[in-house]
Amino acid sequence: MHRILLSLAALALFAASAGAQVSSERGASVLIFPKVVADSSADTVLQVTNLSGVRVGVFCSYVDGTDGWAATSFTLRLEPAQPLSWSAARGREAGDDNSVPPAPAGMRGELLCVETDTAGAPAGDNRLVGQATVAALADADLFSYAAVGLQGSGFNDGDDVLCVGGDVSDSCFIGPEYDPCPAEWLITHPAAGAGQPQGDGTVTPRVAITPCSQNVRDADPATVDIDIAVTNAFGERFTGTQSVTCWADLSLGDVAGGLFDRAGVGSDVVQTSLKPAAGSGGFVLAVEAEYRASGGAVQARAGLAPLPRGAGSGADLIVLPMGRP
Amino acid sequence: MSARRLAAALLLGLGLAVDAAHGAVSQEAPASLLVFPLVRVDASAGYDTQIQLANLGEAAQTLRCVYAPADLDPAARLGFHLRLAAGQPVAWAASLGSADLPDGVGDIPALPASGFTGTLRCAATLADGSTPTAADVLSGSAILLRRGEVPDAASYPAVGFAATGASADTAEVLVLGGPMAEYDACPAEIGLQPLLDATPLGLGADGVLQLESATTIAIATCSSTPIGGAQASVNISVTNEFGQTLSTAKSVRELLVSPLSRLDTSVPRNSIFYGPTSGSPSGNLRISGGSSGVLALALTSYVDPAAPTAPAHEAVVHAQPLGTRELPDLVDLSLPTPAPSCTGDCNGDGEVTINELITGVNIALGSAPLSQCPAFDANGDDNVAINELIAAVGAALEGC
Repeated sequence: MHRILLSLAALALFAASAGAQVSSERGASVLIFPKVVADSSADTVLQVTNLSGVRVGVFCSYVDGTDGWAATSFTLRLEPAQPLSWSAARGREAGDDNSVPPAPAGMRGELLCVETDTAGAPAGDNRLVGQATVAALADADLFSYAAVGLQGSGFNDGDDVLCVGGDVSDSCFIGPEYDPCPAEWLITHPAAGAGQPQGDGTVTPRVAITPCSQNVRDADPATVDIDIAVTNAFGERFTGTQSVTCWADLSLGDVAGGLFDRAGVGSDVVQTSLKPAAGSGGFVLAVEAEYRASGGAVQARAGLAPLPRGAGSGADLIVLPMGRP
Repeated sequence: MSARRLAAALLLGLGLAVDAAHGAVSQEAPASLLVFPLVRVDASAGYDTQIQLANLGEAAQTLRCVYAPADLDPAARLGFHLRLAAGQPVAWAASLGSADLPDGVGDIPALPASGFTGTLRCAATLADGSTPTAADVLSGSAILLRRGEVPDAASYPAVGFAATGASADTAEVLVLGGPMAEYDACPAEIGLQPLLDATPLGLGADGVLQLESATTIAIATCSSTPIGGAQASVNISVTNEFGQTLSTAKSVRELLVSPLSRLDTSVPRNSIFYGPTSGSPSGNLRISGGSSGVLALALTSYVDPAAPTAPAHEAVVHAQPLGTRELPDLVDLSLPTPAPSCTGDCNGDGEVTINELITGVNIALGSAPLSQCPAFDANGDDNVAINELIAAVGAALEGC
């Protein structure tokens, strides 16, 4: 009876939030930072902020995409409106509740943060925003992006299995606890190898992708299959596919057989659609453009903001290493 | 769960459904009006801005765009039209205009290389290029470029205002929010979380890179008028990592670009945005306007404390539009009315001389090119006709 009542109430709330989608500009309950680097080439300055007027807890895990999906976890407690920042490579030493361990040495992967209640259980009150700034250690070249935020649906059973989109199931007996991952991501960006305005160098985008489904507790990564459609400045359309397991940081010059190459698409700017293939789970991403000198060295980077469109129809599960039943 | 709690949950769900129907500006949804809060071109400093626009709709779409300078110089306020095919993306360097665009997209003026700092607004229109229309299909971003010894690039998404479908007034004045809203209301506040100025940063596992943060902030009014400029009394509060909140106020006309720690003082170390003074690395800023709403953008760089004025790479601090204003904001996309032209006044001195009349006759006869005196071509058809010669004679006899 209890489960039926919970399910009915959750259904009402889910109907209310139908059409909601992930966002990087509104308060959210799950923050995914798709690209965190803490190795000999770069460090990442991470920021998490409590947008609300009440105290909020946060559970975070660094997940190393190059080392078997290994997780390093920590907790934060943020006062009303409090921001917090730290270097991924060095962590944050503090005399308060907000000590952050350094990310694993050589890490390249993601940071996952989940809003929690005063008892430390996952909550869905949409109080958090985040951003990351990746800094090259050689020349302090920077690019930044806003963390992808999944909003809570209003109902949460408080266990360490987060139900992202989808319907009622054995794993999610009250249905979705968080917004589904997007049905599509749109990015307007330079083609791979596009010329720089008034320069003799080139521009090539990179994209870091992480599946929405991720079993961090058991270090069991997921795979997503992605349908790609590229439209050039003349309205011509090109298509391809790409699979990502666990986590990937891809130069678009190396994706889908040169699909994004300037020479192939015929224009310096393109519009790209990335969608989960039929039957595949959702994914989130961070996009940057690398500006290279004519000799090939990276001179500058800029984060590009992708547009999430629509709500994916599939269910994704995030399993946290919280030790909660 | 009690029946009362279940009922409360159902009511809450209904409330959320009603709330979700209310629009809010967004940087991540297609819209009918796009605002780029900062466009800068300055050849001497190596600055340029690349604008990216895309039509995400399934039909061709016309746009009317206006560059508005921060210094309100009417000569630097430039308008143009674009027509984008379904799904078509375009990009151009603001210093070059439409030099590299596909045919038929439009004729975009180049901003002066001598320097431009201002905003860009683009609205979806009917095919006539002047009547605004509801077409939430536009997406845009800007890449702030710097050439020179330390090349750099930093990108931000345009702020999108969805249309309500209403048409409240004259074509060139767009109404954002309020009871006669044609577009979404401006945000009640902008949230920004930059590192505070001069915050020491040790990057890398051993702190191998020792730098300091420096942030530049741009605050643009939501309202915009071509003459005099829109004005806003802006309140800026900052909450630091200790939970302490301080605030300051600043008057902004159209666009203000300033180092963060000079917003409230000419001595940065006295600023509420100065990291070493507050002891806090980062701040949570809330920015709100009074008579006009505001949009904001921040650029952070990590500078070498031994060479704080040397060029450094920049990254955009991502903003959150929070809430919606109850008061309307008005965006006037009109251009200054040009001074009346005088047919046959080749040198623009306000009178037509006999020599200029002879030049006009020669052009009409085909013995001289139109480029010798385009002022004879009053109707822009690339020819000089008898009525245009007569108008020039009239101007010579009676004055311009």
